[in-house]
Amino acid sequence: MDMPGMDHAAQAADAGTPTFAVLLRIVLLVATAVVAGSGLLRPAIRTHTRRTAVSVWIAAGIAVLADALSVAFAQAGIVVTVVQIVLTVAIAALLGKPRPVAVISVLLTGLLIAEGSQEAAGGLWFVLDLFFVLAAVVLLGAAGYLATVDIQDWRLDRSRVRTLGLSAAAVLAVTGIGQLLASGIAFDRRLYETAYGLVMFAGAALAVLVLIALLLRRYARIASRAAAIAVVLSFGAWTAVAAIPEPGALPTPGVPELTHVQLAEKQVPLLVTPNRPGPNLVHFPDSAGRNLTVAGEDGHRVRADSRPGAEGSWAKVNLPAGRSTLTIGGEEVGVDTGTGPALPQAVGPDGPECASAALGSLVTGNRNVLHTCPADALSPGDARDLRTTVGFLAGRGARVITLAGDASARSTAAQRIVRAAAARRGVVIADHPRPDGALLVVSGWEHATGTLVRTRRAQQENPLYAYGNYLAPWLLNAPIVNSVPTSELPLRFDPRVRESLEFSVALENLFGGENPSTAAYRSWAAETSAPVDSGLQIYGCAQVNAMPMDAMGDMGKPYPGQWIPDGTIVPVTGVLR
Amino acid sequence: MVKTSRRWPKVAAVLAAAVVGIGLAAFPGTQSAGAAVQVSTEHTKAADGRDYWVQNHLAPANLAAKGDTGGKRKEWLLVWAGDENVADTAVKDIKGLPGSLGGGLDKVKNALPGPDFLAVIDATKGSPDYGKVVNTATVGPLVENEPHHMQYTWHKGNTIYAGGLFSAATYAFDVSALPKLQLKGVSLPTQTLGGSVPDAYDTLKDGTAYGTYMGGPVVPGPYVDSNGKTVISNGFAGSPGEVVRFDQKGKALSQVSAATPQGDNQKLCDDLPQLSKATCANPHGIQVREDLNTMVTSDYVEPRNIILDPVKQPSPYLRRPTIRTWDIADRNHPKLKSVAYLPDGPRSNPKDPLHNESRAVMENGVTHKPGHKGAFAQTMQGGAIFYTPDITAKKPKWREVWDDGTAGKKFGPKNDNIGSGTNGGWVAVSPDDKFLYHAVIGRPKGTLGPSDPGTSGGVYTLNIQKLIGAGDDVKCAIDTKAKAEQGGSGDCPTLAGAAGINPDEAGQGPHWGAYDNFQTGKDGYYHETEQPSRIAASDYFVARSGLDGDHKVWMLGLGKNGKLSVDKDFRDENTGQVGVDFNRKSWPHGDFGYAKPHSELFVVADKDLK
Repeated sequence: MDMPGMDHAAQAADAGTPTFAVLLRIVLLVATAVVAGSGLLRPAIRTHTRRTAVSVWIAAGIAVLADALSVAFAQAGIVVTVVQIVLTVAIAALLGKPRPVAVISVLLTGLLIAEGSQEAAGGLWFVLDLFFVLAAVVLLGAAGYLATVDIQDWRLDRSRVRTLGLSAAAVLAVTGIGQLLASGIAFDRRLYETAYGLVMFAGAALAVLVLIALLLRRYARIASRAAAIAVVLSFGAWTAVAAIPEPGALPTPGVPELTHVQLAEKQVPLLVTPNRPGPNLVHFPDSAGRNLTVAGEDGHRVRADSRPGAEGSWAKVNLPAGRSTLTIGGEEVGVDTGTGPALPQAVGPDGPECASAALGSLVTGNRNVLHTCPADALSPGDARDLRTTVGFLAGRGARVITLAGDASARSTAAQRIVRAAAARRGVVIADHPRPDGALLVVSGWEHATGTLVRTRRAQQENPLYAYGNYLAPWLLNAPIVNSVPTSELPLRFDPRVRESLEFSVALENLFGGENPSTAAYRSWAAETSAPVDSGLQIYGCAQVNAMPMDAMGDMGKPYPGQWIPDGTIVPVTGVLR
Repeated sequence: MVKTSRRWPKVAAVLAAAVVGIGLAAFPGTQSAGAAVQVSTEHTKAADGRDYWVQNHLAPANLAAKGDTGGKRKEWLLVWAGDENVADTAVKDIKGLPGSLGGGLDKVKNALPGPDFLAVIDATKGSPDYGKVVNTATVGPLVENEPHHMQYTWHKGNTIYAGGLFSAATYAFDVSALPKLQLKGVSLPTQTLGGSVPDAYDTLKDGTAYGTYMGGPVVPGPYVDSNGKTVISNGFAGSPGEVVRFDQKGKALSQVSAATPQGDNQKLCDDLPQLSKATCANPHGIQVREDLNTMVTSDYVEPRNIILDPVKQPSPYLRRPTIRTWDIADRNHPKLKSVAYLPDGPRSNPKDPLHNESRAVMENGVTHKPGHKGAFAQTMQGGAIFYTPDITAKKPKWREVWDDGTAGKKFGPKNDNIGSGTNGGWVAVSPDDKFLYHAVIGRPKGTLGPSDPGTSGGVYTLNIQKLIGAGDDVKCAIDTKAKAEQGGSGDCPTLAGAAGINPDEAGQGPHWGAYDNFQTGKDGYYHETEQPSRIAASDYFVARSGLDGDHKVWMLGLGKNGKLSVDKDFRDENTGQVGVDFNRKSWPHGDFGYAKPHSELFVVADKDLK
């Protein structure tokens, strides 16, 4: 399933290309383009000179060296690299044979297109890349021959050479501008505020400069040399842009901002919710590490700490209305909170769940303003499912339920529902632990985690809650369920089916390995056609393992797609009515 | 005006470049496996109303015609394997072209989990396709089952029962038409409410099977089993576990809790959460002697993890020291007959109870011959082998008869003779009751302390003829450290053979194995034999536990005297190395990357078996 926005943000989150790799790419592709261009245009030359041959051999030598280094340092495949080296050397060696060398150059140009094109970006980009590369190759070849071969030794007359050059320059300019327009940043401040924008602009501007230079009849000699340099620089910019993370969308007031910051050569994603004036949460995934600090424009530093029941780390900062800057580890991130009202529930104890819901929406690629948080109210669906859960427990013989809730609107309503359902079934509601009953937690993430940690400790010592630890549907989140050896949850979606797994992987790719939650899934499902209701079932959740942690202490690695790291969640009942 | 004849190179160049570029842009991203693979899918509807399937991916290139094998009929090794799904084997985005970037443009993204599968490997000695994977039968729609065990040996007509440790599902396969498989049925957690975490299976003569479900009833609280016994569960993957009887389509015929009615020893049996009656009932290994109406199950561990305290270890008493015998006169209502606590041995140390010889009784192996009533049990953390001469006794007495440490140096000269933590797994008695086979992973570095170099593993065989011949009057006792390291005397087993696997690496030996119970007769067909000439073994435990493996499957030659040797002809078709490597990029079902081979079975198609 294609998730709009996934590639972009994943690229932003994952890119951290070492400088050496970028330079290697630029040198390799430019040198190869020079060689390819020399071969492609060879049929247009009657005889090449020794200077031409030397120049082509030098370019080929640089390209071959860069090819070899790509195998060693950039995981290039050996077979395809050998093919590229053979083609490159063949062009230099066979320069005296125009037709064969032109055919070989076609193949090498094809490889260039494949190496440089942003295939993931779609058909339009590929077409733009194709013609950009072709134009650059022709221009580089022409520039090389113009510098080393007298015009009399061309098979084309001067006017045809000029036509060829202008045509190629026009294509270069049009495709360069086309790439800039297709990037989506041509008309906003990302063009000049981000490295990506600056390099894209430079590439396009230089391409236009090539055309302008070639149109000049006066100072033609100087202009043509300038054009040659501009082609090299424009092509170099094109090769470099792939290594630069695309900037995220411009911040939109009220839309939780998903962006990234470069920290220690790693692109780290972060989420700002609710992105309104006043208090905001800045959230980093676990993979960002610890000891991160966030400062607003007032300079006040806040350390990002863990929050019970939530993954990653969180910093609560005050943001002014309008545009401002966050500073994280010395890097600046622009935000724009607009002038709307604050959303205090997005930063309180239920703030992380709210942020998770926002992430679920962002996975779809949509940018929706955050108006409410899941804990603001008990949904009719959850109310119904809590009633059914009470009935299920009563049917199993549980005569007492210990109810754990907090002061949020959702939990307060949930407690009322549970008490009423229990009364109808003759089940006693207790507010303290009981060995002969069940625990039912209907609070938010933070309070639930505290309850479960205390429960786990107590259950280590004595039998407690013989009928189990039941959690409200919104409490399916790894740090919560992993607080106890086992828990049971009433759910209407199956975390194991294809759509759930695809969502889980998409979220992990979007936000540094963050695991999904019910809130995130529901947000995502509401905006897609994913199944949200396959009937209510009770799911059992546990960190199933064949060998509880031994002295080695090195637990296995969690795999992508798992809703609960190192955990298992399976339906343990049929559909409950 | 440029003449037409001079225009064509430029036009052709542009077009050709476009074609080449498009082709090359797509080239490394295309899944290379899949060409010329014959795909066929068998569906079945499960109890949840959903469609479940097995999809065969036959690789014709690996299926030589019968004539090419010198007329020899095929024997297969089935390996139940899980997709590993780690990001570094998700290679879709990497183009491998010289100008490509390792990060940035060409990044490795997390990919969806790939399907788990049964690999069908050509195990025909002398076949030009020996060691080749000819079919990967993928299962769906469940992924991340954590494929675990199948039954110990396969006989003609048997269903293959294959369990998913995490999915709590048992798959039932029809293998009559190998190399193709069919799915007969699948049992889901909602059909085995009395247990979770399916582990091992043993088939009965009528084609049904018993399976151990190591974890407790799926929902906490009371559960009434098929015998009318009420047990209290502490939840999914907790305690007490059960034994399930399956029909040939994987439908549960009965579920009987392994719990001791009065509870087990509270000190030796920890449960988390605590139960009002402590229990050690977490059956893992299972063996049946129908002629004796007796079944033996060995209790291994409460199969779930929770990190209580990053510094403190979980209780060693979550790993069990108990072994149970059952009266199976009524096949659908096995009755728990005895619960024995294996004794501690000479190495036992109260300061390190985790590695006492009695700890973590993973597997057991029964004798087969009429007149022999004995059985063996092995401990994974304890590193010892125990024996009882009579499983039909009201209270079978188990004694330690061997320590894994004795075989240590045979696996690798750098190994010590300490059996603690050797992580032994598969154990089986040869059909003629002469030998005991045992797979040992070895002790990972640091197990017994920071300066512990660990030990390597392998497979060894013990000559048990004297022990079995002693009948009820067994004298063998491993009751001193010297005996633990050198072996006992008298009627104690003796080491008949040993083959080290990855002898230079600690803790990289095999967890599981299977002996080849078939041989070719003069009529050209396969027949069952009491003297296996081969053992297959696999290097994978459970990655989530931290004990993984190199994911190789080996073939070992087995002499009539019990001598073992690694079969150097059983090689990986891609690397040419000895042993079939499941860490490969491409499979017949696609480029899904590394897989985790947990268990294997020798199987022959109906048409080739008499």
